[in-house]
Amino acid sequence: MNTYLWLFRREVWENRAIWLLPAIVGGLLLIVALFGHIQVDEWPRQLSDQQLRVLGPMVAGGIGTAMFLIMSVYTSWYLLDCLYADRKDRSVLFWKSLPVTDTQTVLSKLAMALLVIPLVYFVIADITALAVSFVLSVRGGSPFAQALWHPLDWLQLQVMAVYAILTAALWFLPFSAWLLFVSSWARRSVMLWALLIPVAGCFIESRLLGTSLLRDVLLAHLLGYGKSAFHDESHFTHHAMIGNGHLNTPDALSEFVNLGGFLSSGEMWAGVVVGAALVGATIYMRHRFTEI
Amino acid sequence: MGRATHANENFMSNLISATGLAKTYGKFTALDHVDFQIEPGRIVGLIGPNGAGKTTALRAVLGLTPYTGELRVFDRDPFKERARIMQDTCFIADVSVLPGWLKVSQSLDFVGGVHPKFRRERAMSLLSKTQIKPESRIRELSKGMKTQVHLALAMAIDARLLVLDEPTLGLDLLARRAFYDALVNDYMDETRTILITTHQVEEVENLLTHVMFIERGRIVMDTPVEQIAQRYVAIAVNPERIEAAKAAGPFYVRPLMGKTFMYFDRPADPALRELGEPHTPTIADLFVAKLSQGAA
Repeated sequence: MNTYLWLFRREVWENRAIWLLPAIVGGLLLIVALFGHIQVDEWPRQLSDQQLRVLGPMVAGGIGTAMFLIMSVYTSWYLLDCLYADRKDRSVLFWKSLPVTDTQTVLSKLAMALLVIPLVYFVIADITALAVSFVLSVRGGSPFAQALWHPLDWLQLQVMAVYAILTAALWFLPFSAWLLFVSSWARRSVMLWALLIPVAGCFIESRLLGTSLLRDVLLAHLLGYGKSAFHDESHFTHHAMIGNGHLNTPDALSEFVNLGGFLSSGEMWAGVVVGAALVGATIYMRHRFTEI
Repeated sequence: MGRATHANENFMSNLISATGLAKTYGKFTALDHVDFQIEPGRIVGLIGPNGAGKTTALRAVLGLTPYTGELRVFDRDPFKERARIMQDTCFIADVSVLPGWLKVSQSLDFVGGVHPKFRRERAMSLLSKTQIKPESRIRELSKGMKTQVHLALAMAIDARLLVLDEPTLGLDLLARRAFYDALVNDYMDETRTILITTHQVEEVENLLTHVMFIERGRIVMDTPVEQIAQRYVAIAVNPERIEAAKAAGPFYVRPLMGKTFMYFDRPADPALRELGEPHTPTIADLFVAKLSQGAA
């Protein structure tokens, strides 16, 4: 276990963007909150209690979602680069001269992308949301303050974030493992290989068989996470007015969580199996091929 | 019990044992069924021209590449148990394998974190003798300094086997000398075993207890240094005896500055002494002689 902590530390040393990037994004959001234009005297007073109730989670949830999207792009890059970079600069010979197994190395990098980096973003998103809420409350006065500070909503958002990190790690495992796998053997142009092989697979399938099964499966899985892990708004009967339209909202945020549906999803488990096989293949490649 | 004792004896007598070790890359044969043994306490030079198979042999010993044939290091299979073997082995490849983004202090932290036999104070004291600052990143250091950092890391590990693969490649003369001085003064004692490859033979000549010459994937000579004097003789042949000397069957003839040097592998033969002035060939001379012989 201690070895893994050191391996994580090593990744953070090498990839300072892990915390720098979200810190910069958080800082920018805070600057917007500090100096952005808010018409404080008008619309908060016109909102109903129910609408105000939605405002708080929207600020925190919005920041969280923005961070999550940035993180997805960053971790994709990280997974593609991490094993390749060691081979490119030949430092793999140094890392392999230490009593650390290839399995530990590969798993540490996967765990970085799936758990540690999301956790870093989660904490920084939280701090940002608190700071932004505080600034908006001070600038907007009591209606804003009332809307933004709901401890119970806040706690539920935390639970939802942890739920999202864990379920996304499982759901996206086949994609993450694919990127890591390419990183373990490509001699150059990791990005190109990572995209080219699935695209070529889809192309060959449509030429030979006239079908588009692979493309459909890949796209469905890539876009299917939200539907699989969360209830959508049609699930709820409660209405809240936003502007002129209305929105179905749950009584409690935690009602969004669809753990049962997620865990009973055959698609999710099939993806996990594919991902595990790719992780195994990555360890095999890391063990066998040292230098470029 | 009996089996364990046997394994232990084998392990004590041979740190590394290769039988029929072979490795091919496509059609290229890097190692052609070589046999060798390395006992504890030896300082073995694996010497050969570029592409002879030196690095492949080391990679196999270190568990970095798969191979065919039998290879045991500490009586373990190195490819299957690389991480375990690295607890007792240090490896320094040429200068550029420490990652540039790593800080010197981080390298100490990390190795200390994952290596049970790393003594941080020792690495610190070795580094304190140099100009290297702990907060420097590796990429900011000169090649010579990079090697010093790597050597300090390696020497602070209480390892039984040190493997050096062209450790001074690309270094200037001062840095090369500093490297070997540090190795001799701060590391070597009778319990250490060192396996070193280089094509600069002169550099390690006085260090070695054993030499192995490797050429085109085969080991062409494997001998203790102290036996070189008993096995080989170089003779600066008197001009009038050249024909007679050639008839005596030298394995290598080298004309040099008006003299002719001939190399024989039976120094005890008194007839050879008549031919000219005998001396013990240096390892570098022998290397050239042996390899030229192979090419002839």
